[in-house]
Amino acid sequence: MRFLALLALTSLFGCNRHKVVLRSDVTYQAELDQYHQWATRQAVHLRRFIEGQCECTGNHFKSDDCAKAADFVLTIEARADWHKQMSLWNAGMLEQEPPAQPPEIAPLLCPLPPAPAGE
Amino acid sequence: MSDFSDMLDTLIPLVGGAVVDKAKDEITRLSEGADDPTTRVVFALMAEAVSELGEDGLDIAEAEIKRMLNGRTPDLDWASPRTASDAVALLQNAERARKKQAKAAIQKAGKVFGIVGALFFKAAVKGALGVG
Repeated sequence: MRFLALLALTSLFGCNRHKVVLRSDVTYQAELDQYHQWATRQAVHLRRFIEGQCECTGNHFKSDDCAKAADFVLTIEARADWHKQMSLWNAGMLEQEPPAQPPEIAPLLCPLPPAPAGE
Repeated sequence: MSDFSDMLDTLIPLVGGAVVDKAKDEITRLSEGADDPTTRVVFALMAEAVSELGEDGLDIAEAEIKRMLNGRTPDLDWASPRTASDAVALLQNAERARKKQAKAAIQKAGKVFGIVGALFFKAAVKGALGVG
């Protein structure tokens, strides 16, 4: 019986080429929260900076730096929550399964479209 | 996954010899026509590699895309945040799918063990009692 159980476990997990990492759920949650806050708070400040300092040429940003910064803001605003939820879900630390499709990122346009509600 | 590796092997020498801007436009056009998220990410990464790193970017893109498609961690710091996010979303969804498969397999194995275990137990009891 033990041999059968061992054989079954080996067949289930033995050929898995992905390392499984055991972490403290408390530390992992704290780390995710911190990285998420860093990203989302930076996005708020960066948005204000872009809105105050960057100029448009038609629908495009005049400066390449402004365009690159705006792309980060739009991506973080759209995706930060979904990626965090997926990290928690895959770690078995979330009740509600996130949707398979990540949220759409707004197209890069000047001026920036309004921030999503709650940002 | 090997389909994508084959596609890269075919595509890379082809675009490698072309003018960088033309190659970027062509890859972007192909990317927009793709309806599968993995294909779209692969094309978007290649277009951005050419755009950010020039013709040499194709080798870097090829190596990193193959790492990603083989389930290893890619280094995508040259990619735009939205494309890097798409790539990470692919990895996260792949992990979710693997976990669901593993969970289903464990549940199935549990049922099989339940049956096998019961049979062994009955046989052991019968053996101990000397029942034929």
